[in-house]
Amino acid sequence: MDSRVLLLDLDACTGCRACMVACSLVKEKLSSFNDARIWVPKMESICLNVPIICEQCDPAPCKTICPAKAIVKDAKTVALLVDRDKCIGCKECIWACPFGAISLRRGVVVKCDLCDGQPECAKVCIPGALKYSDIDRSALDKKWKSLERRIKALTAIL
Amino acid sequence: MAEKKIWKEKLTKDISSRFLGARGIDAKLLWDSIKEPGIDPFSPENVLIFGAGTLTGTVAPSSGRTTITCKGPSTNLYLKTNMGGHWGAELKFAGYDHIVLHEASKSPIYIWISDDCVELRDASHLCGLDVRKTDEFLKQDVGDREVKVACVGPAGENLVRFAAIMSSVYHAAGRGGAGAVMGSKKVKAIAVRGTKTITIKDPDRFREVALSAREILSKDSGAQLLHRYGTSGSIEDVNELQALPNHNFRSGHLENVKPITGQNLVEKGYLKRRVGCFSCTISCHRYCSIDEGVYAGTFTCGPEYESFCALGAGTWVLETEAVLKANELCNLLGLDTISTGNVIQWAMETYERGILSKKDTDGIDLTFGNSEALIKAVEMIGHREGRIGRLLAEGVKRAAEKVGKDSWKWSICNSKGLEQSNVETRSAKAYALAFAVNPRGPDHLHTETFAEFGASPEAIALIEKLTGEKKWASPHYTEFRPEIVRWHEDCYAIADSLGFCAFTSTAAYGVTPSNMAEMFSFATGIEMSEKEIMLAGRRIVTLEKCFNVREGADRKLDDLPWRLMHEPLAVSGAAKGFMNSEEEMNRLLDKYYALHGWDLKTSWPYEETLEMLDLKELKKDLQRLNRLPKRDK
Repeated sequence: MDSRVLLLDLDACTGCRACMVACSLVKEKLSSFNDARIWVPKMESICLNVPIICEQCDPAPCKTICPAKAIVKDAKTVALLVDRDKCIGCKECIWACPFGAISLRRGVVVKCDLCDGQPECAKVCIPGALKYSDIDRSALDKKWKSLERRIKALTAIL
Repeated sequence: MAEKKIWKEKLTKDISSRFLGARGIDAKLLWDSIKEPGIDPFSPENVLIFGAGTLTGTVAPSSGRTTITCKGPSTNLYLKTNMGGHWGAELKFAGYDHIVLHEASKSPIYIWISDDCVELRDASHLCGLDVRKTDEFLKQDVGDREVKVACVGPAGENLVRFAAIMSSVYHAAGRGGAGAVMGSKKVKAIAVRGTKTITIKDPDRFREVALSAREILSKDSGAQLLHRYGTSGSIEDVNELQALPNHNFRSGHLENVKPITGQNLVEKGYLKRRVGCFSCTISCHRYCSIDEGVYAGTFTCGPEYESFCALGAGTWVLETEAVLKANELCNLLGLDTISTGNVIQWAMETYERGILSKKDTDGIDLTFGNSEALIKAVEMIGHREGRIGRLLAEGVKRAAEKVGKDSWKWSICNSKGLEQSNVETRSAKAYALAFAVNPRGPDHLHTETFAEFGASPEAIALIEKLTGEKKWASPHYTEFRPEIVRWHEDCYAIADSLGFCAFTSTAAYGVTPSNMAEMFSFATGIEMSEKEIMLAGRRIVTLEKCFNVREGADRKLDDLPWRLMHEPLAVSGAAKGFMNSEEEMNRLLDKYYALHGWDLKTSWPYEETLEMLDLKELKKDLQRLNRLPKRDK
């Protein structure tokens, strides 16, 4: 099992949104915001950017609620994957996700699959806001800290 | 605008392959739209053209820039001005590359673009609002926070000749007064929301080249410095080189420069966040705020190198907070910080020499170093308020003409009329040439030969590649300047057209003509070699030149501000005796025109040059005006 997780350093995010178009390019072979599995909402007047990524929760509300059992955990990366053949497009997972990290594209839900252990978003993030790195105690702490701050910041924006 | 008519046209492959995108196609649209020379830039006959880069909206590094083009109100010549932010990418996602505004609306409107739907909406409730409020109100109006807004502030509405168009609140298309042209068309804003996709012809190869360019940029020393300290991070170094213009270009060195540096913003905690334009690998933009003291509550982006120089060094207001405040006001009013600082410096010197009195300045004590006077003057210019506001809002050339005496001698603009940006050309000769020939007026954004100031290893390597020897990177030589300038011109024209930030090909060195050609080819499917794309760059530069020729410009307008030609940079010390001279400039110009295939006497491109560059459509107009010389056989 891969022990790495996708970490977010809110202070380093410059809001350039390269992660969004990189994601759409690698997943759908085109450039678009709507096809990205990551979203960076912006409050432009105070230059605040708060990326929303799938946290690959455990237990995961999306997996638990899915009536078609279409969301499965990848054995290697522990990413939650959508089985496109099983997905019935009921959108239950979209409502269940506490972060809004799942969306609907062409009738099936799409979400971050960690690019099979090589997340493209982290690859293009030059300021280093997104990092795919080994999980250890400090990384975990950082992850939770950033999560709390993000929720606070999101409450301020939305 | 006048008839509220909206129509859409498809770009032809011929146009895309000859003029590439944003800046290039803008220039072509401008040439085709304004048929008659001599129109008033504020008349309905002027057009205002927005163009997002060909690669804007993709993962290509720092490719989010937008070019705005029109006949400029400060020079009555060609104007292209360029902005970062996220507006261009949103426009691309809505499905458009360019917007052309014809004629003028009868009442204030804003344009709302949501994918295929384009509406002209009433904007009377937005009149007089500052940039931040306009952005906020529009987001509320259309009920979507994801909307990206390009708008003018009060300065644009008041036709201040150096009003900016602002996007994503703090990103300015500052130079030359495009904001005033937008104001003259009574268009307060263009709000865009795009949810479509951008097709990439060869996504796998495109991705490979784009990601490798991103990788190179992430390791570039110049890029890293720009990220850490912003553009103003270089102020201390430029000051050490005795090349930091201050006191209205009477000196190149300051004793206490620290308060107006990027390092100071970081160390004193003014810097709150580093901000990136769309898809940027560098992210040199800063978000700063002041938490306590008289200026508490100030929050804005910047100050950039140019803003610190124009509003701080130039006026001798060497106080971080006062300059930040003046910068915030410029951003809110929608003013170009370079021109604003420049006219205020001129007014301060004119006041110091007793030519402007307190009566002329509405009681403001316009002495160098007076921070309150600086801030008051910025406000009055933006609102065209009082005698001094009305005078300075016309720009430094017209203000000097009105005030008379010898005041034109210390107006830092050249014959074209644009206020010069803050670069010391007396000790940097490629800059001197580039500033003189820049079609929009003397500044660094058509050509920046960064090696002359930055001297990073990457910058010197480029000069070595162009000239064969490292030593020519030194700014004091006059040899090879025309060759260096012309290469940078071509490269900048491509970068601007594809949407790349100028910093990716000079200042930082990750985007080159060769990988730009590859990215262009893989994204659009129009095959283009490095040589062909460089030629397209030259074609764009020549088209811009021809617009000015059609307007009546000739060699006389390719000059530098009087002070920079006739007064030495310093009378003692390390910078003693650095000068520009007629003789030297003439030598540089001769060589430069010859390289381009332009006539030495008039500077007009030869007919043969236009044919070689596949610009035959320009010949008819130029022939009619008798401005199409033939090369002597």
